[in-house]
Amino acid sequence: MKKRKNQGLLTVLPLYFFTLLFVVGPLLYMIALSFATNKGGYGFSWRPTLENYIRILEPVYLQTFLQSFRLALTSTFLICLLGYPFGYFMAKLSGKWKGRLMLLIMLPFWVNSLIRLYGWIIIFQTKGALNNLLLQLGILKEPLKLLYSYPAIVLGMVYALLPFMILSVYSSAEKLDWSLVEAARDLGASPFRAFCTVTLPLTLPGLLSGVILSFIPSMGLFFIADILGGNKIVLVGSLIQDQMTRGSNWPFAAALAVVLAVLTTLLIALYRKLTNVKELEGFY
Amino acid sequence: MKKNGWLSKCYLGILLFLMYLPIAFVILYSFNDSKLAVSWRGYSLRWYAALFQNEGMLEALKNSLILGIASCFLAALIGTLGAVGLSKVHLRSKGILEYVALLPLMIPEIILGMVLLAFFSLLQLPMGMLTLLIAHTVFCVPYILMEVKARLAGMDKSLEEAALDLGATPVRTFFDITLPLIMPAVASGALLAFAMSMDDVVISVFVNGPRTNTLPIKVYTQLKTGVTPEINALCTLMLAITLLVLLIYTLVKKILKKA
Amino acid sequence: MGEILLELKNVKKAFDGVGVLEGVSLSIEKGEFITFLGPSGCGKTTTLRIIAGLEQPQEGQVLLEGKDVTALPPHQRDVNTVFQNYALFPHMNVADNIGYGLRLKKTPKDEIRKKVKEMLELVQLSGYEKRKPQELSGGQKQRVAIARALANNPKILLLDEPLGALDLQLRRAMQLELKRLQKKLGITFIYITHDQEEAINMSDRIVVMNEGLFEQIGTPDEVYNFPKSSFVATFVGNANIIPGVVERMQPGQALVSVCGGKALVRWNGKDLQPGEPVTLAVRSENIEIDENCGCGLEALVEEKSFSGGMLRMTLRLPDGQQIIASRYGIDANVAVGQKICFRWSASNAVLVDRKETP
Repeated sequence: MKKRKNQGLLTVLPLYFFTLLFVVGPLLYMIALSFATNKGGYGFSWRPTLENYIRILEPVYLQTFLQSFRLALTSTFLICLLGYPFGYFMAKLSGKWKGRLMLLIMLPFWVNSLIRLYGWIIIFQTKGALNNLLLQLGILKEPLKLLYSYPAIVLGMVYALLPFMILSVYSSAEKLDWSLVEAARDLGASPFRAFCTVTLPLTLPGLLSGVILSFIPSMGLFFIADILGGNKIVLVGSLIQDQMTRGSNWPFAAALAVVLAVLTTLLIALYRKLTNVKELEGFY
Repeated sequence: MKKNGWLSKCYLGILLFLMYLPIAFVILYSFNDSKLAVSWRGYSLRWYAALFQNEGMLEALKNSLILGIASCFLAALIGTLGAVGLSKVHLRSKGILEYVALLPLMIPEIILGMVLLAFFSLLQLPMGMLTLLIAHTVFCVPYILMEVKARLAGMDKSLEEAALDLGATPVRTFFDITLPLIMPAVASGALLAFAMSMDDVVISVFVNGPRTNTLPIKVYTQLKTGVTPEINALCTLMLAITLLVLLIYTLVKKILKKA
Repeated sequence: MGEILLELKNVKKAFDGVGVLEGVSLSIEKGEFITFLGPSGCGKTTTLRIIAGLEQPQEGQVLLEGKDVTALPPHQRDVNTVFQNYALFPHMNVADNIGYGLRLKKTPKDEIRKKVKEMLELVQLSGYEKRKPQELSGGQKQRVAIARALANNPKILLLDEPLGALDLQLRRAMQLELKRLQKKLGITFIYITHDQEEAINMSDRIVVMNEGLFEQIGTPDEVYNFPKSSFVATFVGNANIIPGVVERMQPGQALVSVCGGKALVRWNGKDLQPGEPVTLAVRSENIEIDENCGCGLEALVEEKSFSGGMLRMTLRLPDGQQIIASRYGIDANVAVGQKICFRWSASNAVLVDRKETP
């Protein structure tokens, strides 16, 4: 009998080929590279070594990892705090306003993210808009130095990644059957109690996928720290970029990347375990 | 369902205001007569004029547009075919393929940029538009794949069967039934991918090579060395064009609906 | 006997190792209205999909007009399907949906337009050409789906529970209309349903399916009045299944001891040996109740309910067995907990689950 089972095989081939060549290939190469020996000046030999991984344990680099994590955690926490209510309230709007708000949230994506950060620079500069305003109102005597500080980087991160959280929470809250909340209220739960016992657990997948969608990039968005933080704070992302370009130690950069990749993969695995959801909610 | 109170509406309003505040400043300062972003010296269109003479900037814009469209197109092709194929074939490696194909979204961009740079130099590809194109396609494919996959999962399988039953070949069925029905998903995935491509710094900065600039890279270098207000003008123009396209789109849709 | 149009020969199908069709065979004649009747999961839809070519059997053959079409893909078969959920193409209007098959055959445009008009008249939807499927009611979608499948002039029309999503009234009307259509066009219909009324109303022959096998193939009368198995008796006729032991033979009848008493059952086959265990099927409406307990078998009324103009009584026998009896109208003479007697006439009882045929 003729098999008609794998008719679509031809159509998957480009994806197979492309993914193997440009996703799997490079990632395997990265792993291999992380065990290679650095020879300085972009050179390396394939003599296997654990040197690169051992080097990560040096206080300087451990510090970098810790700092990156701290920043990512702080930003993600703030993003949750700001984004969850936004997505939640948005889901409660009428259909017409939902659409409008959705548009308003998507629109900034079409303005280059760097330029949007630049907008903040205009506002926060020492002689920028905010200081001018405050000086003219007589609230301040001396201009504040707002840029190139830790809070500035956090602001940048929150600003860049907030929409992801909002959209994740929104898509989760949108699907929520509000009669469940009403049922909880009917059964005697206070509004707060109903929120904690019904709304929150049911929108948890959205919240958690928002956490993932903001936590992972915030580990790697080196340019935000670069632009808003001056050179004060070094993140893993900046470190990797530095090692790939100026430091020209590729094996070490690869080892850093492997560690970062393992950490984020663990995080996603944890997410799947927690929510039993296979795919990230929100964007797709 | 309980409606939002005024407090929550205020919250939505304030956060939206803050989201648009920096954008408003960029637009405002694109009309600033001063070269420095520091002070306001009255309205002027000089930066718009300067923009059209700044060849580096226009070159970067052109590169970004070409890159965005080309990688989007390529990704749409690979992603759509892949998603359709995946829904049909029974292969043991299917699950792994799906997982790996979505990896570019799951790992920090910095890693992707780094490994692609290392890998391209292993293949001895010259860094430039080609490497940029490949890199952008790598992170655009998952967007399309996700969208189309979700759409296919929601699609009634019997529609395709009905076409086959009525005498359409499998290829004909794809073009007559499947493709028109998943087109909205392809389009929205492609649109998202295009936006991401137009905005990418982290990956591009690794694989762009010494002479090829994209718009985001240009902006990035300028932010590090010193901003010229032409960039404000450029972004204002891009936003205006986006808005215009959106407006036309909604108008056309409304008119079509009435007709 | 008409000429044979479709033949299934020992068709077997399993999904992931789980058998869905366990080797079924059947011949269908030209112009027949044949119904596959069975509970969900019995393999009736799979059988239909194998005939349509949407599924491949692991074993066996499908012959269409004597030609082996087992490996032929669906688009090369002169067989069309009306899908359970209609499967109307949402991006095409009614006319384009109906004309789709003809367009594939490169039929000239004028001809397509004529055919579409004709088809819409046939299903009484003239003037709906430009509507989109989303703008139609369930019944209208159904008609369009039928028109689309018929527009190709198929040799066989396959209908997969086409009326399942419609409400009762509409379903009755559509049953009549489908029957009318089939008579008018003379096309072979293969119809799937789990509703025995529908099957009995419409079919020339019924194939009762259970767990991947054809339990019985016959006219509605045969299947209803002469069930061969206890499954057919219960599924088609809601019959009581009663075990018994043969006492002795009489001409055309057997005396059987059942439920602590004796009863007659119709039997035209070869003589049964006394002491042989048998299974009887008696439909609930054929159980006669005697409140005064003059004769027959004794039982206790356990439950009473009224539905569809029928009073249904659950009777509990001394040995614990349950029997359902029903009769028209509300009967005040029978009370729950009351002791009554019941019986049936020999012509209303059938022996089922027998290897040999009477």
